[in-house]
Amino acid sequence: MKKIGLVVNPVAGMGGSVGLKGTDGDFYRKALKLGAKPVAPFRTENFISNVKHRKDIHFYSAPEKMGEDILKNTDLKYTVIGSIEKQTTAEDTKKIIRLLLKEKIDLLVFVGGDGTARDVYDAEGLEVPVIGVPSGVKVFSSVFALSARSAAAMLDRFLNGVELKEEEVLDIDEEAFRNNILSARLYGYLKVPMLKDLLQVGKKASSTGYSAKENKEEVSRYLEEQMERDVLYLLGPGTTMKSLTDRLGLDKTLLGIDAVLNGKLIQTDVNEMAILDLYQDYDKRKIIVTPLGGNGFIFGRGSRQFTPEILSKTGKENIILAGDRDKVSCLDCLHIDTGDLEVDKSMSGYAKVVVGYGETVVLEVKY
Amino acid sequence: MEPLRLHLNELPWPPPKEVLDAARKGLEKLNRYSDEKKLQELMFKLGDYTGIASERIILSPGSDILLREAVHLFTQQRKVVTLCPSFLPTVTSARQTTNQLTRLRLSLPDFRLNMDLLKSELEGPCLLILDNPNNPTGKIVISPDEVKTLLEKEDVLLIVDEAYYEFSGITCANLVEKYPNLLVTRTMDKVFSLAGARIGFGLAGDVFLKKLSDFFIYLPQIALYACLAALDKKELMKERVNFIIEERKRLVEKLLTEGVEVYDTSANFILINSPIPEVVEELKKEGILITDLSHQMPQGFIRITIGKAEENNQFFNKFQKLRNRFGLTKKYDE
Ligand SMILES: Cc1ncc(COP(=O)(O)O)c(C=O)c1O
Repeated sequence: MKKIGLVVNPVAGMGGSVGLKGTDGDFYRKALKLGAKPVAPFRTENFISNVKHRKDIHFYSAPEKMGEDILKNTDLKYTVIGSIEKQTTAEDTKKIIRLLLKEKIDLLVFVGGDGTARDVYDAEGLEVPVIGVPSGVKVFSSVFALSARSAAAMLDRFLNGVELKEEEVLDIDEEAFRNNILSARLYGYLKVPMLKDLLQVGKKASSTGYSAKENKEEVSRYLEEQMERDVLYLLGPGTTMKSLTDRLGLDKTLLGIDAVLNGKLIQTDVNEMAILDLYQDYDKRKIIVTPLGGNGFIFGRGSRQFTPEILSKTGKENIILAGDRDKVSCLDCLHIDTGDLEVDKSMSGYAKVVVGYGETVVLEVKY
Repeated sequence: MEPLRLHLNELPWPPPKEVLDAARKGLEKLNRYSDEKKLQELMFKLGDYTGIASERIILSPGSDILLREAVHLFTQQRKVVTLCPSFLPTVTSARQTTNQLTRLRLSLPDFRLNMDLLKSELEGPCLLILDNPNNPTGKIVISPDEVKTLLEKEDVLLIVDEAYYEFSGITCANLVEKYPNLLVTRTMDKVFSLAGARIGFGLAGDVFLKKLSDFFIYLPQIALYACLAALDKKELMKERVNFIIEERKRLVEKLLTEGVEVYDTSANFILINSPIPEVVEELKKEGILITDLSHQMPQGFIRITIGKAEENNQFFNKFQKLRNRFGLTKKYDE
């Protein structure tokens, strides 16, 4: 019997139908006034009804509309934990998750969007694996399953024992997003079950035959072969870069920027000052970064270490982009927004993203 | 009940009686490989249909198989350039054989292919594969004149996949006589109502012709007989195509009036970008199959094949019902 935690953000996703991009802060009430209907209960039901191994699990659920209300009408075993406010907030989510951790849950299922994923990260970090059921308006973080159904498939797979991997939690500036400006920052990582065929839905669409892990290995093998001697490489955050450093036998900071020269880690977690110092010593330098899944952000207000000054010193020709094939294949374009229009302009045009061994996707970079 | 199939870009009607009768004749000869004379006859008929010398016609059990074969034969030591999104089996074939694969993104809102960008990618020996109209955007990405300029480069081999030619009316077929480095692929599966027969064909320039005609292709008997008869029913085919085009326009108009983000195409399908969660699954529950494009397009994109009028209405109504459930059908003022 596995103990599965359940936390639903009841208001996640309500802004979308009425054209609001998110329900943070006052926008929740605004969404209600505009006639928005709850989406999260529907997504949760959809998730729950698709779970197959129903006898092997016991849910530990948040109360009322944060989980209990949906479990009530099912054949599933569950225990309700803690209590919540009438108007639920992020604090309720975090409080309940901390209580669930005390119950020694094996896995946490949460229903919501990027904001909810951040709350989960705040409350538990990498302590227990999670399954994210997408319900928010902004679901850019790659911790989420493709759909409620694939989330259910993930849970079934988890019960049979499955590898885990770390996926991104993003922080999207909601105010900016409302104004159609995409600004994202890597907020953290959560552990999720690895499900090879998660993305393989349609018959014709499914024939890539590569797992995310194999894909990362392919990309990093190619990048390693392309790396030149006596060039300073600044490796951005993320798991694609981590698979490159794993390959090189180096220990990378997952969220930071690390400096590599001739196969050796010469400095970790560098900030702008440290990069400028390094640039004094090395005149051949390249930056390797991963576009963010969902919005294709390469440099933005979030990734502060790569400042406009550093980017203009590096030059567009010395920027290498590399990422997960499935994620990059879904991007309509790349985005840059460093705050310096001249720099953004100089980096715009078309760019190649390495997505496999010798395989690239060419996308427009918009600013 | 059988689900409504709006997911594979098939035609909604079965073949006419004459074609079914012919297929039955083929069925009776199932102990035999197909007759060389009949195969010759098919090549003549296809030559007649396309206006190309019949010696240039390469038969294949499905154009996807021909595309795969051509890709496997011509990617060694070549860089492959293609589109993203595009017909995925072809991309997958290329991935199996080349270590230099570049896909050019077709971006919203008009999915235009930037010709300067494309030309800059065609350095050294390369194989360029374009589905035109493109699947899934349904756009004509290149004109025959632009194709000519690309074919002037000797190092470039070009495959133009014209699976939806009859809907777009735009073709590079006549260029294969002049340009050895061009292969145009077509299919009987879509507009002739023969998806289950699986017959595709190529119109090959000399470079392609030389290698692709190394093997004699015995097509399946039933498919061969059906195809021969179908090519005598070109008027019916044209009527069907025109009907689908009219229906496509009608459905697009209707969706636009409702404020749906819909993209018209030059093929027998349309694209919709919808915020409805799990819209593909939801429609499946209602007995309607459509295609999820989330592997190649931003989240929310779906492809819907145009069917008979009542089928399109059925889709429209179910889709509206879903939109209603998510509060998308009313317009709100702040
Ligand atoms: C662009 C494109 N090319 C080729 C094909 C393959 O057609 P067939 O194998 O049925 O001839 C399809 C089918 O959907 C397609 O969309």
